[in-house]
Amino acid sequence: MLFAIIGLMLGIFLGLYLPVTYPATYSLYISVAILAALDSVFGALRSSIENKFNTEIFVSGFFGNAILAGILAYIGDRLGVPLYYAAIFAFGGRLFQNFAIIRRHLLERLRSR
Amino acid sequence: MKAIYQNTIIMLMFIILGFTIVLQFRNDSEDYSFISAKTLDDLQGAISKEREEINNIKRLIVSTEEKLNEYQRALEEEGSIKEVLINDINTMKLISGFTDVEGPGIVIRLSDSIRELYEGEDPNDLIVHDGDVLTILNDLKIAGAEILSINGQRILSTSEIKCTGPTITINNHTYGQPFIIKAIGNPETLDAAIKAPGSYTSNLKEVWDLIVESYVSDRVRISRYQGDMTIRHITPLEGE
Repeated sequence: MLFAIIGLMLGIFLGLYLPVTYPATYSLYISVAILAALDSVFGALRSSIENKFNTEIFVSGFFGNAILAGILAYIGDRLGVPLYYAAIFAFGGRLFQNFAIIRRHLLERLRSR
Repeated sequence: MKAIYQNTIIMLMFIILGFTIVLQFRNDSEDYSFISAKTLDDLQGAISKEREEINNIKRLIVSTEEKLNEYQRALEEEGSIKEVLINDINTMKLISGFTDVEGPGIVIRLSDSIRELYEGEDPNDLIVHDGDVLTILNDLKIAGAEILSINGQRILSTSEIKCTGPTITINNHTYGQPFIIKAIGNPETLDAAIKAPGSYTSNLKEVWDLIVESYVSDRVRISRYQGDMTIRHITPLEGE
């Protein structure tokens, strides 16, 4: 947990101060990729609360989902079908599901104390 | 050992996550909407106008500071700013028309035509109208006239020039013809504004046969505004 927060802070810091830019046309793909990555993070949080956390699964899910979502959005753009909706619904839905489970676990922990 | 490895990987991934999120935020905050050449041009015009405004204000600041310095110097040297203020008042009076003035300029005498009417001609064609006087005044202002008067009436920003039958009312005083317009300014340009072919005054003379006489003088005297200004509706705005 601590390492995750430190990492996030470092990343934000780097993002704020490194002069990196990319063409605005890629903005959508990166948004979808971020959504996928966020989904992985919530999944990891949930599994760590359930003591089922596995680094390999987390890493592969993080990158795999992000890249897949980005590519899906790109292909959708090429084909003229807004395929990124698929990524948004899948990952967005799972994100809220994971969050709900995390919430329940936390509330149970509070109650049992 | 395994825990350290795990933690490092997690940290690395969160670094990537934070980095991309912030990158996206920064990228998205910029506006990439379509901009036409005209909008660009308009915006550039607006920018240069604002810059000009800024320069004007800066100049105003400089001049105001100079004035302040003047006051302070007067305070230090003489112990009072009375003299500077009196100077200011005199300048204000000069500008607003409450002092007699003298300077190089032009005197124009404008009177009705003396020729006979044609058969069925409108007699209005032969007389001086308020509009004629107004246009001549405007021409003189364009030519750089600083002070103007008609038949001894100083022209202020509030002076009316109104048709009252065969007469013209100026500053609530009614005058018949001839109308004597005096203007102080650069005599050459004022004279040119009156005499140039195609100018309004030369048209009056050539086309309508009105009598326009003018002479340039180095000492045109114009008396001050005789009435008084009553201020009923205006209030100065503070801090503008």
